[in-house]
Amino acid sequence: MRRLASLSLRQRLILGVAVVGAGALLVALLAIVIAQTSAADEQPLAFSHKTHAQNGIQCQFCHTGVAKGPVAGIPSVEKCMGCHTYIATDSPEIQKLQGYWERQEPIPWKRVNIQPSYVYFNHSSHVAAGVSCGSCHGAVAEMTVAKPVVEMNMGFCLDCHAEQENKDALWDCTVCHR
Amino acid sequence: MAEERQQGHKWTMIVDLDKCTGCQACVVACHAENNVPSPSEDEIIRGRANHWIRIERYWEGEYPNVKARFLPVFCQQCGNAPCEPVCPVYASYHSVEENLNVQVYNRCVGTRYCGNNCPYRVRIFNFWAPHFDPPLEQQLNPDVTVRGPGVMEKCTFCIQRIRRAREQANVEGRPLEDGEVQPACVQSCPTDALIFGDKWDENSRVAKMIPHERQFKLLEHLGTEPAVYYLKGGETHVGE
Repeated sequence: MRRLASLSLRQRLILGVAVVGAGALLVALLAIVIAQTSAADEQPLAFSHKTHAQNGIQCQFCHTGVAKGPVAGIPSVEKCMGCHTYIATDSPEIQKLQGYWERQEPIPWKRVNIQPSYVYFNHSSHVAAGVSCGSCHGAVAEMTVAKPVVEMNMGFCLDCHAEQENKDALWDCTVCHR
Repeated sequence: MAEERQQGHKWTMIVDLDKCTGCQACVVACHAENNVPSPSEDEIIRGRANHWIRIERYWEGEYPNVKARFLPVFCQQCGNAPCEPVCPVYASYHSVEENLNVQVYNRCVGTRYCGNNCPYRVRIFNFWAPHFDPPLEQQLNPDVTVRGPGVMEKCTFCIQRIRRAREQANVEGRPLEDGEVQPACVQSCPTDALIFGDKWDENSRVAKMIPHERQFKLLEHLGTEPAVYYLKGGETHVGE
């Protein structure tokens, strides 16, 4: 405090501005982080998993890659239009979809579940092992807006891998990291 | 010494030096497959060439009877690896399942102990963030991590290809077949000088070739138990 008292008025002013500036920067950074993590809420279309699941559509009908390879995949606009040329055509959201179709643009969906770049997840291995979609993705069939349910960190993966019969093989770093 | 068969696979490479022409196709293929950036001339002069495979060239004889000998050197995937015990954060660790030395990039803190303890000098340290001259940044392999600065890296025997093939075989409910996994270097070798497979699979091409009368390992006296077997080249063996 003595050191602070020895500062001139001008130096104190500069120090004050610097502290306020740093605080403002921190708040701004926090706001950006929050905005990014909640980006999943703002999809280009108000797509509802719930509506589709209630009408008896299975996950694999749209996420076709899930049993075949690493990536589950997002359906093409063509796939959406396969039904929506006839179904609910008067809804404003479906008209938005038709707009993408007519402009021949892909829908810029925002990613919901994010993995770091050094993690390699394979959907097909998990489907083949009988892991249900809900174990990681939660009750998507009841969500109007898809949201991440579990925090998909390493602990979450290993908790399940440790319970398996071939846990030694599933405990290997190369299973996920390459 | 008969090796005891354990869990997983024993991935093994055979390098036939009689067939190697030193063309460096393997080096190029490796760069493309594993997102290895190309070093500048200046960096190479400073000893910072970052190839996961290097072709060592030896001149033999006096002019005019000079011959070039080539020796491709990459990570020997030692069974008793000097790089592993020195890592303070277990980033360099031994995969029990694949029987390979694995570098876990997200664990690595860049002490470089492993590189200094490797007798084969095959570990590469990333001094800077990777740079790919356009349009090379658009051909990065999505199955391989792009390593950041401060991280040690090395040949992985194309672990991403091994894992992909194993996962596919697993989904289809069948055992892995010999020849299903091919690292990029093996795939690109025009003279078939590189042979890859699981030594513990008795019917694999690799298992059938070992032991071979021309066989030797690099710095075998160090007791590192490399998983790479070299087959001697030279006149005495031509046409074998």
